[in-house]
Amino acid sequence: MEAIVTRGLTKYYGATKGIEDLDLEVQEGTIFGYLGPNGAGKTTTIRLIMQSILPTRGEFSIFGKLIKPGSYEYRSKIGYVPGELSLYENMTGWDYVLFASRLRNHLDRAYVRALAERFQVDLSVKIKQLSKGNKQKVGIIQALAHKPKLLVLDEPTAGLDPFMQEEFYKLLIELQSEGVTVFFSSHILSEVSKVCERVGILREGKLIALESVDALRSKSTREVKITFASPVRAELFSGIPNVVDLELRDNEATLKVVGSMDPLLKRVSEYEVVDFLSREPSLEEIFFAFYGSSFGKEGGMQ
Amino acid sequence: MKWVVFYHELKHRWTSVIAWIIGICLYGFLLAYFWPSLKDQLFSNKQLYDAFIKMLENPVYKPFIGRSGLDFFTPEGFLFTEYYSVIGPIALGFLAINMGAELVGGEEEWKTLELVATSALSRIQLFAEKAAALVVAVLFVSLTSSLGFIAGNAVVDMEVAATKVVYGSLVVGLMALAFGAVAMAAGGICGRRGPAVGVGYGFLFLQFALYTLGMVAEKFNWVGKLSLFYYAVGDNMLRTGYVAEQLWVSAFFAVLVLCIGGLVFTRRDLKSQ
Repeated sequence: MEAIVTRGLTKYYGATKGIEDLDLEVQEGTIFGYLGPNGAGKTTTIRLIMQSILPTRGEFSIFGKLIKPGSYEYRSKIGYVPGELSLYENMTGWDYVLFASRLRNHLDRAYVRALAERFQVDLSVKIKQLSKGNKQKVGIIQALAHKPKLLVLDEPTAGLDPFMQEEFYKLLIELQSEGVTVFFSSHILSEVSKVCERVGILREGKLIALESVDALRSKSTREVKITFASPVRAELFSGIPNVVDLELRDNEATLKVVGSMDPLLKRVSEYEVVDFLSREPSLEEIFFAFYGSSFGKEGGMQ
Repeated sequence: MKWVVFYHELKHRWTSVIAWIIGICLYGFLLAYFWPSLKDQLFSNKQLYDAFIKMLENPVYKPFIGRSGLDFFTPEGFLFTEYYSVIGPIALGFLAINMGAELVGGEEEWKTLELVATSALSRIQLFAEKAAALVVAVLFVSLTSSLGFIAGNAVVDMEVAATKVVYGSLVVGLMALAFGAVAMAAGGICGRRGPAVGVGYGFLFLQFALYTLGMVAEKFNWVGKLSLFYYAVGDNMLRTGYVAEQLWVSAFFAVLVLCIGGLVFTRRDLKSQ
Protein backbone atom coordinates (compact mmCIF):
# COMPACT_ATOMS: atom_id res chain seq x y z
CA MET A 1 0.00 0.00 0.00
CA GLU A 2 1.17 3.53 -0.72
CA ALA A 3 1.49 5.90 2.21
CA ILE A 4 1.45 8.92 -0.07
CA VAL A 5 0.20 9.23 -3.62
CA THR A 6 -0.03 12.52 -5.48
CA ARG A 7 -1.70 12.89 -8.85
CA GLY A 8 -1.19 15.99 -10.93
CA LEU A 9 -0.58 17.98 -7.78
CA THR A 10 0.02 21.57 -8.80
CA LYS A 11 0.52 24.78 -6.91
CA TYR A 12 0.90 28.24 -8.34
CA TYR A 13 1.58 31.31 -6.23
CA GLY A 14 -0.01 33.84 -8.52
CA ALA A 15 2.01 33.57 -11.71
CA THR A 16 4.89 31.81 -9.95
CA LYS A 17 5.07 28.07 -10.22
CA GLY A 18 5.46 26.15 -6.95
CA ILE A 19 5.08 22.61 -8.24
CA GLU A 20 3.43 21.35 -11.38
CA ASP A 21 1.73 18.05 -12.15
CA LEU A 22 3.48 16.15 -9.41
CA ASP A 23 2.90 12.41 -9.60
CA LEU A 24 4.55 10.74 -6.68
CA GLU A 25 4.18 7.47 -4.83
CA VAL A 26 5.72 6.64 -1.49
CA GLN A 27 5.38 3.06 -0.37
CA GLU A 28 4.26 2.36 3.18
CA GLY A 29 7.12 1.45 5.49
CA THR A 30 9.84 3.09 3.40
CA ILE A 31 12.07 6.09 3.91
CA PHE A 32 11.74 8.43 1.00
CA GLY A 33 14.14 11.30 0.35
CA TYR A 34 12.90 14.39 -1.40
CA LEU A 35 15.60 16.47 -3.04
CA GLY A 36 15.95 19.60 -5.06
CA PRO A 37 17.59 23.02 -5.21
CA ASN A 38 16.27 26.30 -3.82
CA GLY A 39 12.74 27.00 -4.94
CA ALA A 40 12.31 23.59 -6.56
CA GLY A 41 9.10 22.99 -4.65
CA LYS A 42 10.06 20.60 -1.84
CA THR A 43 8.52 22.66 0.93
CA THR A 44 5.52 23.43 -1.28
CA THR A 45 4.90 19.69 -1.71
CA ILE A 46 5.17 19.07 2.00
CA ARG A 47 2.89 21.97 2.88
CA LEU A 48 0.35 20.74 0.34
CA ILE A 49 0.37 17.30 1.93
CA MET A 50 -0.15 18.92 5.34
CA GLN A 51 -2.79 21.25 3.84
CA SER A 52 -1.24 24.40 5.22
CA ILE A 53 -1.55 25.49 1.60
CA LEU A 54 -4.19 24.44 -0.88
CA PRO A 55 -3.47 23.04 -4.34
CA THR A 56 -4.24 24.88 -7.55
CA ARG A 57 -5.22 21.51 -8.99
CA GLY A 58 -4.53 17.85 -8.49
CA GLU A 59 -5.09 15.57 -5.55
CA PHE A 60 -3.31 13.35 -3.10
CA SER A 61 -4.13 10.43 -0.91
CA ILE A 62 -2.70 9.25 2.38
CA PHE A 63 -2.79 5.52 3.17
CA GLY A 64 -5.19 4.99 0.31
CA LYS A 65 -7.67 7.64 1.36
CA LEU A 66 -8.23 10.55 -0.98
CA ILE A 67 -7.73 13.75 0.97
CA LYS A 68 -10.26 16.43 0.17
CA PRO A 69 -9.62 20.13 0.83
CA GLY A 70 -10.47 20.84 4.46
CA SER A 71 -9.93 17.24 5.62
CA TYR A 72 -7.96 17.05 8.81
CA GLU A 73 -8.52 13.69 10.51
CA TYR A 74 -5.75 12.07 8.46
CA ARG A 75 -3.23 14.37 10.11
CA SER A 76 -3.58 12.51 13.41
CA LYS A 77 -1.54 9.76 11.72
CA ILE A 78 1.19 12.16 10.67
CA GLY A 79 4.16 13.56 12.54
CA TYR A 80 5.36 16.79 10.98
CA VAL A 81 8.48 18.89 11.32
CA PRO A 82 8.20 22.04 9.20
CA GLY A 83 11.17 23.59 7.46
CA GLU A 84 10.83 26.79 9.42
CA LEU A 85 10.15 25.36 12.85
CA SER A 86 8.74 27.88 15.28
CA LEU A 87 7.58 26.87 18.74
CA TYR A 88 5.96 28.83 21.55
CA GLU A 89 8.98 30.38 23.21
CA ASN A 90 7.39 30.79 26.64
CA MET A 91 6.45 27.15 26.99
CA THR A 92 8.75 24.44 28.26
CA GLY A 93 9.66 21.71 25.82
CA TRP A 94 7.54 19.26 27.79
CA ASP A 95 4.50 21.56 27.77
CA TYR A 96 4.86 22.04 24.05
CA VAL A 97 5.07 18.32 23.37
CA LEU A 98 2.03 17.79 25.58
CA PHE A 99 0.12 20.54 23.77
CA ALA A 100 1.05 19.19 20.32
CA SER A 101 0.10 15.65 21.32
CA ARG A 102 -3.29 16.72 22.61
CA LEU A 103 -3.89 18.30 19.22
CA ARG A 104 -3.11 14.96 17.63
CA ASN A 105 -5.21 12.97 20.08
CA HIS A 106 -2.49 10.72 21.47
CA LEU A 107 0.49 10.92 23.80
CA ASP A 108 2.91 8.28 24.99
CA ARG A 109 4.65 9.94 27.94
CA ALA A 110 7.18 7.17 28.46
CA TYR A 111 8.10 7.33 24.80
CA VAL A 112 8.56 11.11 25.00
CA ARG A 113 10.83 10.71 28.03
CA ALA A 114 12.84 8.08 26.19
CA LEU A 115 13.17 10.32 23.15
CA ALA A 116 14.26 13.28 25.30
CA GLU A 117 16.90 11.10 26.91
CA ARG A 118 18.03 9.76 23.59
CA PHE A 119 18.35 13.23 22.06
CA GLN A 120 19.80 14.65 25.27
CA VAL A 121 17.40 17.52 25.56
CA ASP A 122 15.98 18.88 28.81
CA LEU A 123 12.26 19.29 28.21
CA SER A 124 11.75 21.12 31.50
CA VAL A 125 13.53 24.20 30.14
CA LYS A 126 11.63 27.01 28.46
CA ILE A 127 11.95 26.87 24.68
CA LYS A 128 13.32 30.41 24.50
CA GLN A 129 16.30 29.23 26.56
CA LEU A 130 17.12 26.36 24.21
CA SER A 131 19.72 26.47 21.46
CA LYS A 132 18.62 26.14 17.84
CA GLY A 133 19.64 22.50 17.81
CA ASN A 134 17.72 21.74 20.99
CA LYS A 135 14.64 23.51 19.64
CA GLN A 136 14.92 21.27 16.60
CA LYS A 137 15.05 18.25 18.91
CA VAL A 138 11.82 19.43 20.58
CA GLY A 139 10.35 19.79 17.09
CA ILE A 140 11.33 16.22 16.28
CA ILE A 141 10.00 14.87 19.59
CA GLN A 142 6.63 16.61 19.15
CA ALA A 143 6.39 15.00 15.71
CA LEU A 144 6.99 11.55 17.19
CA ALA A 145 5.16 11.84 20.52
CA HIS A 146 1.82 10.58 19.22
CA LYS A 147 3.47 7.60 17.48
CA PRO A 148 2.45 8.50 13.93
CA LYS A 149 2.32 6.08 11.03
CA LEU A 150 3.78 8.64 8.67
CA LEU A 151 6.53 11.18 9.30
CA VAL A 152 6.71 14.23 7.07
CA LEU A 153 9.96 16.05 7.73
CA ASP A 154 11.20 19.17 6.01
CA GLU A 155 14.98 19.23 6.45
CA PRO A 156 14.70 17.76 9.94
CA THR A 157 18.40 17.63 10.79
CA ALA A 158 18.95 21.38 10.35
CA GLY A 159 20.74 22.60 13.46
CA LEU A 160 21.52 19.15 14.85
CA ASP A 161 25.14 18.34 15.59
CA PRO A 162 26.65 15.36 13.70
CA PHE A 163 26.27 13.05 16.71
CA MET A 164 22.60 13.86 17.01
CA GLN A 165 22.15 13.54 13.27
CA GLU A 166 23.49 10.00 13.50
CA GLU A 167 21.12 9.28 16.37
CA PHE A 168 18.28 10.65 14.31
CA TYR A 169 19.14 8.44 11.32
CA LYS A 170 19.24 5.42 13.63
CA LEU A 171 15.84 6.36 14.99
CA LEU A 172 14.40 6.68 11.48
CA ILE A 173 15.66 3.20 10.61
CA GLU A 174 14.16 1.81 13.83
CA LEU A 175 10.86 3.49 13.07
CA GLN A 176 10.92 2.08 9.57
CA SER A 177 11.39 -1.40 11.00
CA GLU A 178 8.23 -0.78 13.04
CA GLY A 179 6.35 0.03 9.84
CA VAL A 180 6.50 3.82 9.96
CA THR A 181 6.80 5.61 6.62
CA VAL A 182 9.18 8.56 6.44
CA PHE A 183 9.03 11.31 3.83
CA PHE A 184 11.78 13.83 4.24
CA SER A 185 13.50 16.54 2.32
CA SER A 186 17.21 17.06 2.56
CA HIS A 187 20.13 18.64 0.77
CA ILE A 188 22.77 16.26 2.09
CA LEU A 189 23.49 13.29 -0.13
CA SER A 190 25.18 11.30 2.62
CA GLU A 191 22.11 11.78 4.79
CA VAL A 192 19.83 10.57 2.03
CA SER A 193 22.05 7.63 1.16
CA LYS A 194 22.28 6.54 4.80
CA VAL A 195 18.60 6.16 5.40
CA CYS A 196 16.61 6.42 2.20
CA GLU A 197 15.72 3.69 -0.19
CA ARG A 198 14.22 5.91 -2.83
CA VAL A 199 14.51 9.54 -3.72
CA GLY A 200 12.48 11.98 -5.72
CA ILE A 201 14.34 14.83 -7.34
CA LEU A 202 12.62 18.10 -8.08
CA ARG A 203 13.68 20.82 -10.45
CA GLU A 204 11.72 24.00 -11.01
CA GLY A 205 8.57 22.46 -9.61
CA LYS A 206 8.76 19.27 -11.67
CA LEU A 207 9.70 15.81 -10.53
CA ILE A 208 12.61 14.92 -12.80
CA ALA A 209 13.71 11.67 -11.24
CA LEU A 210 12.22 9.06 -8.98
CA GLU A 211 14.72 6.33 -8.29
CA SER A 212 16.57 4.28 -5.74
CA VAL A 213 19.56 5.70 -3.94
CA ASP A 214 21.72 2.96 -5.45
CA ALA A 215 20.69 4.01 -8.94
CA LEU A 216 21.46 7.60 -8.10
CA ARG A 217 24.85 6.67 -6.76
CA SER A 218 25.65 4.64 -9.85
CA LYS A 219 25.12 7.79 -11.88
CA SER A 220 27.36 9.89 -9.73
CA THR A 221 30.65 11.34 -10.82
CA ARG A 222 33.48 10.88 -8.33
CA GLU A 223 36.65 12.87 -8.36
CA VAL A 224 39.61 10.51 -7.95
CA LYS A 225 43.20 11.36 -7.17
CA ILE A 226 45.68 8.48 -7.41
CA THR A 227 49.29 8.73 -6.34
CA PHE A 228 51.51 6.00 -7.82
CA ALA A 229 54.90 4.92 -6.53
CA SER A 230 56.41 5.98 -9.84
CA PRO A 231 55.27 8.05 -12.83
CA VAL A 232 52.71 6.41 -15.11
CA ARG A 233 51.70 7.02 -18.71
CA ALA A 234 48.30 8.07 -19.97
CA GLU A 235 47.91 4.77 -21.79
CA LEU A 236 47.35 3.14 -18.44
CA PHE A 237 43.88 4.72 -18.36
CA SER A 238 42.96 4.23 -21.98
CA GLY A 239 39.95 2.07 -22.54
CA ILE A 240 38.78 2.10 -18.93
CA PRO A 241 35.02 2.56 -18.99
CA ASN A 242 33.58 5.49 -17.02
CA VAL A 243 36.85 7.46 -16.72
CA VAL A 244 36.81 11.07 -17.94
CA ASP A 245 38.77 14.32 -17.53
CA LEU A 246 42.11 12.63 -16.92
CA GLU A 247 45.03 14.82 -15.87
CA LEU A 248 48.47 13.34 -15.32
CA ARG A 249 51.33 15.01 -13.49
CA ASP A 250 54.40 12.84 -12.81
CA ASN A 251 53.17 10.03 -10.58
CA GLU A 252 49.83 11.66 -9.77
CA ALA A 253 46.63 11.17 -11.74
CA THR A 254 43.43 13.16 -11.30
CA LEU A 255 40.32 11.98 -13.05
CA LYS A 256 36.60 11.60 -12.79
CA VAL A 257 34.66 8.36 -12.72
CA VAL A 258 31.09 8.26 -13.91
CA GLY A 259 29.26 5.31 -12.40
CA SER A 260 31.03 2.19 -11.20
CA MET A 261 34.62 2.43 -9.90
CA ASP A 262 35.29 -1.26 -10.49
CA PRO A 263 37.05 -1.10 -13.91
CA LEU A 264 39.37 1.66 -12.68
CA LEU A 265 40.26 -0.18 -9.49
CA LYS A 266 41.03 -3.35 -11.39
CA ARG A 267 43.33 -1.51 -13.81
CA VAL A 268 45.31 0.52 -11.25
CA SER A 269 45.74 -2.46 -8.97
CA GLU A 270 48.30 -3.72 -11.46
CA TYR A 271 50.54 -0.84 -10.29
CA GLU A 272 51.94 0.19 -6.95
CA VAL A 273 49.54 2.76 -5.54
CA VAL A 274 50.76 5.02 -2.72
CA ASP A 275 47.50 6.85 -2.20
CA PHE A 276 43.96 6.70 -3.57
CA LEU A 277 41.53 9.49 -2.79
CA SER A 278 37.95 9.42 -3.96
CA ARG A 279 35.76 12.35 -3.14
CA GLU A 280 32.06 11.79 -2.93
CA PRO A 281 30.37 14.35 -5.13
CA SER A 282 27.91 16.77 -3.68
CA LEU A 283 24.35 16.23 -4.66
CA GLU A 284 24.58 19.42 -6.63
CA GLU A 285 27.43 17.99 -8.68
CA ILE A 286 25.40 14.90 -9.42
CA PHE A 287 22.52 16.99 -10.53
CA PHE A 288 24.73 19.18 -12.66
CA ALA A 289 26.19 16.12 -14.26
CA PHE A 290 22.96 14.33 -14.96
CA TYR A 291 20.20 16.82 -15.03
CA GLY A 292 21.72 19.75 -16.87
CA SER A 293 23.43 22.98 -15.97
CA SER A 294 20.17 24.88 -15.55
CA PHE A 295 19.54 22.89 -12.39
CA GLY A 296 21.28 25.06 -9.88
CA LYS A 297 20.70 28.44 -11.39
CA GLU A 298 19.20 29.83 -8.20
CA GLY A 299 22.35 29.28 -6.29
CA GLY A 300 22.71 25.65 -5.42
CA MET A 301 20.94 22.93 -3.60
CA GLN A 302 18.59 23.23 -0.73
CA MET B 1 -13.75 18.39 20.74
CA LYS B 2 -11.18 19.00 23.46
CA TRP B 3 -10.72 22.76 23.01
CA VAL B 4 -6.97 22.41 23.39
CA VAL B 5 -6.26 25.64 21.53
CA PHE B 6 -8.89 27.52 23.54
CA TYR B 7 -7.32 26.53 26.87
CA HIS B 8 -3.85 27.14 25.51
CA GLU B 9 -4.73 30.70 24.49
CA LEU B 10 -6.25 31.52 27.87
CA LYS B 11 -3.36 29.96 29.77
CA HIS B 12 -0.89 31.80 27.60
CA ARG B 13 -2.52 35.17 28.34
CA TRP B 14 -3.56 34.92 31.95
CA THR B 15 -0.87 37.34 33.21
CA SER B 16 -1.98 40.01 30.77
CA VAL B 17 -5.63 39.37 31.65
CA ILE B 18 -4.90 39.70 35.38
CA ALA B 19 -2.95 42.91 34.80
CA TRP B 20 -5.87 44.41 32.89
CA ILE B 21 -8.33 43.38 35.59
CA ILE B 22 -6.18 44.93 38.33
CA GLY B 23 -5.76 48.13 36.33
CA ILE B 24 -9.44 48.62 35.57
CA CYS B 25 -10.54 47.52 39.04
CA LEU B 26 -8.22 50.07 40.57
CA TYR B 27 -9.46 52.77 38.22
CA GLY B 28 -13.10 51.91 39.02
CA PHE B 29 -12.46 51.81 42.75
CA LEU B 30 -10.68 55.17 42.74
CA LEU B 31 -13.41 56.77 40.61
CA ALA B 32 -16.08 55.66 43.06
CA TYR B 33 -13.94 56.45 46.09
CA PHE B 34 -13.27 60.04 45.05
CA TRP B 35 -16.82 60.69 43.83
CA PRO B 36 -18.16 62.16 47.14
CA SER B 37 -15.28 64.57 47.60
CA LEU B 38 -15.38 65.61 43.94
CA LYS B 39 -19.12 66.23 44.15
CA ASP B 40 -18.78 68.19 47.39
CA GLN B 41 -16.02 70.29 45.96
CA LEU B 42 -18.04 71.17 42.87
CA PHE B 43 -21.23 71.94 44.79
CA SER B 44 -19.46 74.02 47.43
CA ASN B 45 -17.78 76.28 44.90
CA LYS B 46 -20.30 77.92 42.58
CA GLN B 47 -17.64 79.45 40.38
CA LEU B 48 -15.96 76.13 39.86
CA TYR B 49 -19.32 74.44 39.31
CA ASP B 50 -20.36 76.97 36.63
CA ALA B 51 -17.02 76.66 34.87
CA PHE B 52 -17.28 72.90 34.91
CA ILE B 53 -20.82 72.88 33.53
CA LYS B 54 -19.79 75.32 30.82
CA MET B 55 -16.92 73.06 29.88
CA LEU B 56 -19.15 69.99 29.65
CA GLU B 57 -21.60 71.86 27.45
CA ASN B 58 -18.91 72.03 24.80
CA PRO B 59 -20.05 69.62 22.01
CA VAL B 60 -16.66 67.94 22.11
CA TYR B 61 -17.68 66.33 25.41
CA LYS B 62 -20.99 65.05 24.11
CA PRO B 63 -19.71 61.53 23.45
CA PHE B 64 -18.73 61.32 27.13
CA ILE B 65 -22.14 62.46 28.25
CA GLY B 66 -24.39 60.46 25.96
CA ARG B 67 -27.62 61.16 24.18
CA SER B 68 -29.68 61.67 27.32
CA GLY B 69 -27.84 64.86 28.22
CA LEU B 70 -25.61 66.15 31.00
CA ASP B 71 -25.85 63.93 34.03
CA PHE B 72 -22.57 64.32 35.84
CA PHE B 73 -23.87 64.81 39.34
CA THR B 74 -25.64 61.53 39.83
CA PRO B 75 -23.55 58.43 40.59
CA GLU B 76 -24.74 56.74 37.38
CA GLY B 77 -23.98 59.81 35.27
CA PHE B 78 -20.57 60.25 36.85
CA LEU B 79 -19.50 56.64 36.27
CA PHE B 80 -20.87 56.70 32.76
CA THR B 81 -19.01 59.89 31.84
CA GLU B 82 -15.76 58.78 33.43
CA TYR B 83 -15.67 55.17 32.22
CA TYR B 84 -18.59 53.54 30.48
CA SER B 85 -19.16 56.10 27.72
CA VAL B 86 -15.75 56.31 26.03
CA ILE B 87 -12.76 55.40 28.20
CA GLY B 88 -13.95 51.87 28.97
CA PRO B 89 -14.81 50.86 25.41
CA ILE B 90 -11.57 52.32 24.05
CA ALA B 91 -9.32 50.90 26.80
CA LEU B 92 -10.84 47.43 26.54
CA GLY B 93 -10.88 47.85 22.78
CA PHE B 94 -7.07 48.14 22.91
CA LEU B 95 -6.85 44.84 24.81
CA ALA B 96 -9.25 43.13 22.43
CA ILE B 97 -7.55 44.47 19.29
CA ASN B 98 -4.08 43.42 20.40
CA MET B 99 -5.26 39.98 21.41
CA GLY B 100 -7.41 39.56 18.31
CA ALA B 101 -4.56 40.54 16.01
CA GLU B 102 -2.16 38.11 17.68
CA LEU B 103 -4.47 35.11 17.72
CA VAL B 104 -4.21 34.32 14.02
CA GLY B 105 -2.29 37.09 12.24
CA GLY B 106 0.44 37.24 14.87
CA GLU B 107 0.83 33.51 15.18
CA GLU B 108 0.96 33.13 11.44
CA GLU B 109 3.60 35.82 11.18
CA TRP B 110 5.65 34.18 13.95
CA LYS B 111 5.14 30.82 12.20
CA THR B 112 3.90 29.12 15.37
CA LEU B 113 0.56 28.55 13.63
CA GLU B 114 2.03 26.11 11.08
CA LEU B 115 2.26 23.19 13.51
CA VAL B 116 -1.06 23.95 15.18
CA ALA B 117 -2.93 24.33 11.89
CA THR B 118 -1.51 21.06 10.57
CA SER B 119 -2.64 19.03 13.57
CA ALA B 120 -5.76 16.89 13.70
CA LEU B 121 -7.91 19.99 13.90
CA SER B 122 -9.95 21.66 11.19
CA ARG B 123 -9.17 25.24 10.29
CA ILE B 124 -12.64 26.33 11.27
CA GLN B 125 -12.34 24.71 14.69
CA LEU B 126 -8.94 26.29 15.16
CA PHE B 127 -10.38 29.70 14.35
CA ALA B 128 -13.47 29.08 16.48
CA GLU B 129 -11.38 28.06 19.51
CA LYS B 130 -9.25 31.16 19.19
CA ALA B 131 -12.34 33.34 18.77
CA ALA B 132 -13.85 31.72 21.87
CA ALA B 133 -10.67 32.55 23.80
CA LEU B 134 -11.00 36.17 22.67
CA VAL B 135 -14.64 36.31 23.80
CA VAL B 136 -13.93 34.76 27.18
CA ALA B 137 -10.81 36.85 27.88
CA VAL B 138 -12.39 40.19 26.95
CA LEU B 139 -15.68 39.56 28.72
CA PHE B 140 -13.88 38.13 31.74
CA VAL B 141 -11.72 41.25 32.03
CA SER B 142 -14.71 43.52 31.55
CA LEU B 143 -17.03 41.73 33.98
CA THR B 144 -14.41 41.08 36.64
CA SER B 145 -13.31 44.69 36.47
CA SER B 146 -16.78 45.71 37.60
CA LEU B 147 -15.71 44.43 41.03
CA GLY B 148 -13.60 47.57 41.40
CA PHE B 149 -16.60 49.79 40.75
CA ILE B 150 -18.79 47.71 43.05
CA ALA B 151 -16.20 47.83 45.84
CA GLY B 152 -15.82 51.60 45.46
CA ASN B 153 -19.59 51.96 45.46
CA ALA B 154 -19.85 49.98 48.67
CA VAL B 155 -17.15 52.00 50.42
CA VAL B 156 -18.62 55.41 49.67
CA ASP B 157 -22.23 54.25 49.51
CA MET B 158 -22.79 55.47 45.98
CA GLU B 159 -26.06 53.59 45.65
CA VAL B 160 -25.56 52.27 42.18
CA ALA B 161 -26.91 48.73 42.00
CA ALA B 162 -24.24 46.08 41.41
CA THR B 163 -26.41 44.56 38.68
CA LYS B 164 -26.31 47.87 36.79
CA VAL B 165 -22.54 48.01 37.06
CA VAL B 166 -22.21 44.44 35.83
CA TYR B 167 -24.62 45.15 32.99
CA GLY B 168 -22.65 48.27 32.02
CA SER B 169 -19.43 46.24 32.03
CA LEU B 170 -21.06 43.64 29.82
CA VAL B 171 -22.09 46.34 27.33
CA VAL B 172 -18.57 47.76 27.31
CA GLY B 173 -17.03 44.28 27.05
CA LEU B 174 -19.17 43.33 24.07
CA MET B 175 -18.33 46.55 22.32
CA ALA B 176 -14.60 46.01 22.89
CA LEU B 177 -15.08 42.47 21.65
CA ALA B 178 -16.44 43.83 18.39
CA PHE B 179 -13.18 45.74 17.86
CA GLY B 180 -11.15 42.66 18.77
CA ALA B 181 -13.23 40.63 16.33
CA VAL B 182 -12.37 43.05 13.54
CA ALA B 183 -8.65 42.68 14.32
CA MET B 184 -8.91 38.90 14.54
CA ALA B 185 -10.85 38.67 11.30
CA ALA B 186 -8.29 40.92 9.60
CA GLY B 187 -5.52 38.60 10.88
CA GLY B 188 -7.47 35.61 9.60
CA ILE B 189 -7.75 37.24 6.20
CA CYS B 190 -4.24 38.65 5.78
CA GLY B 191 -2.11 36.46 8.06
CA ARG B 192 -0.12 39.37 9.48
CA ARG B 193 -0.26 41.00 12.90
CA GLY B 194 0.67 44.53 11.86
CA PRO B 195 -2.13 45.04 9.34
CA ALA B 196 -4.57 43.31 11.69
CA VAL B 197 -3.71 45.73 14.51
CA GLY B 198 -3.93 48.63 12.06
CA VAL B 199 -7.35 47.58 10.83
CA GLY B 200 -8.56 47.10 14.42
CA TYR B 201 -7.41 50.49 15.64
CA GLY B 202 -8.45 52.16 12.40
CA PHE B 203 -11.92 50.70 12.79
CA LEU B 204 -12.14 51.76 16.45
CA PHE B 205 -11.15 55.35 15.74
CA LEU B 206 -13.37 55.53 12.67
CA GLN B 207 -16.28 54.35 14.80
CA PHE B 208 -15.49 56.93 17.46
CA ALA B 209 -15.12 59.67 14.84
CA LEU B 210 -18.49 58.81 13.28
CA TYR B 211 -20.12 58.75 16.69
CA THR B 212 -18.58 62.07 17.70
CA LEU B 213 -19.55 63.67 14.41
CA GLY B 214 -23.10 62.43 14.85
CA MET B 215 -23.24 63.84 18.38
CA VAL B 216 -21.59 67.18 17.63
CA ALA B 217 -23.20 68.19 14.33
CA GLU B 218 -26.97 67.86 14.17
CA LYS B 219 -27.11 67.49 10.40
CA PHE B 220 -24.75 64.51 10.70
CA ASN B 221 -26.83 62.68 13.26
CA TRP B 222 -27.36 59.86 10.77
CA VAL B 223 -23.59 59.34 10.55
CA GLY B 224 -23.50 58.59 14.24
CA LYS B 225 -25.89 55.71 13.65
CA LEU B 226 -23.16 53.98 11.61
CA SER B 227 -21.14 53.63 14.80
CA LEU B 228 -21.28 50.86 17.37
CA PHE B 229 -20.78 53.54 20.04
CA TYR B 230 -24.18 54.95 19.17
CA TYR B 231 -26.00 51.72 19.98
CA ALA B 232 -23.89 50.44 22.85
CA VAL B 233 -22.96 53.54 24.83
CA GLY B 234 -24.99 56.29 23.19
CA ASP B 235 -27.28 56.22 26.20
CA ASN B 236 -26.32 55.75 29.83
CA MET B 237 -26.85 52.04 30.36
CA LEU B 238 -26.45 52.46 34.12
CA ARG B 239 -29.61 54.53 34.00
CA THR B 240 -31.59 52.78 31.26
CA GLY B 241 -30.95 49.21 32.38
CA TYR B 242 -31.26 46.50 29.75
CA VAL B 243 -31.87 47.78 26.23
CA ALA B 244 -31.50 45.17 23.54
CA GLU B 245 -29.50 47.28 21.09
CA GLN B 246 -26.87 48.06 23.72
CA LEU B 247 -25.87 44.40 23.80
CA TRP B 248 -26.93 42.79 20.59
CA VAL B 249 -25.67 45.21 17.94
CA SER B 250 -22.08 44.76 19.15
CA ALA B 251 -22.53 41.03 19.66
CA PHE B 252 -24.08 40.50 16.23
CA PHE B 253 -21.41 42.60 14.57
CA ALA B 254 -18.63 40.63 16.32
CA VAL B 255 -20.13 37.30 15.27
CA LEU B 256 -20.56 38.52 11.70
CA VAL B 257 -16.97 39.69 11.22
CA LEU B 258 -15.61 36.59 12.93
CA CYS B 259 -17.63 34.42 10.54
CA ILE B 260 -16.25 36.32 7.56
CA GLY B 261 -12.68 36.15 8.89
CA GLY B 262 -13.05 32.46 9.73
CA LEU B 263 -14.42 31.58 6.30
CA VAL B 264 -11.59 33.34 4.50
CA PHE B 265 -9.07 31.71 6.87
CA THR B 266 -10.31 28.23 5.99
CA ARG B 267 -9.97 28.92 2.27
CA ARG B 268 -6.53 30.40 1.99
CA ASP B 269 -2.89 29.36 2.24
CA LEU B 270 -1.00 29.88 5.46
CA LYS B 271 1.88 32.27 4.97
CA SER B 272 5.31 30.70 4.93
CA GLN B 273 7.57 33.76 4.99
